[in-house]
Amino acid sequence: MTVPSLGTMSPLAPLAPLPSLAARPSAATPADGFGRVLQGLLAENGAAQATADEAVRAVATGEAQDLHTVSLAVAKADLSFRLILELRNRLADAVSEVTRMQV
Amino acid sequence: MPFRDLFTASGISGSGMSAERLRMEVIANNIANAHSTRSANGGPYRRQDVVFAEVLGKATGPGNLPGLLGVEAVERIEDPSDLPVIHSPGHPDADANGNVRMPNVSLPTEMVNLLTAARAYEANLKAAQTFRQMNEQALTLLRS
Repeated sequence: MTVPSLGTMSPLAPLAPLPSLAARPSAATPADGFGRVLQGLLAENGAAQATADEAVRAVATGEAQDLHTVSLAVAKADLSFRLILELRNRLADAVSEVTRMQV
Repeated sequence: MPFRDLFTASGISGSGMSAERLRMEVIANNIANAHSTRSANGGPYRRQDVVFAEVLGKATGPGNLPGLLGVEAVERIEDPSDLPVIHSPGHPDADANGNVRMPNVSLPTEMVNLLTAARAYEANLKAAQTFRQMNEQALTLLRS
């Protein structure tokens, strides 16, 4: 026997892959992690230190116009370096915390 | 990640200190030339003063306001006030009546201006120091 109303039902749609799976980046990019951030910070600090070096050299060679320019450049290099140092310390702490984790 | 925006305040204080240093140079020049009857312009030395102007950067950040870049000295002007005349017939620059025109530098005024410039320099220095202390205190947050 046939049920006429069944004929009007649409067939099941074929299984589609989950969109979230397809959108997930392939195998990540581990190099983009903390290492690159740290490298960027270090490069920035290198520039500040180069400015400070240049200012100190200007004093030594007698080309400096102002003493406070030198002091400020050195203070800037010092502060940015200490900021990076603190970030690195926190990062190292986090890594050692992970390695101590019980499995 | 640029650090330059982190230390704008110390750059502003530095521009203030540079400006005050220039002002002290001009005042010292005024004092040194308080009795100069000859100058590059021919007549007696005229008292000089500096004109400062605010420096603004590109409009960025919240509210699209121009960035603050401190101060700069834009001009060095001469005081047009009257030159005092003294009677000194033996002076090589005396006129036919024995009168000599002297610079319009008044030492008490210059000393007061010198003190003002020194105090303003100190104020800029204090701002820079406080900014540095603020940063150091913020860094202690990272220490566990």
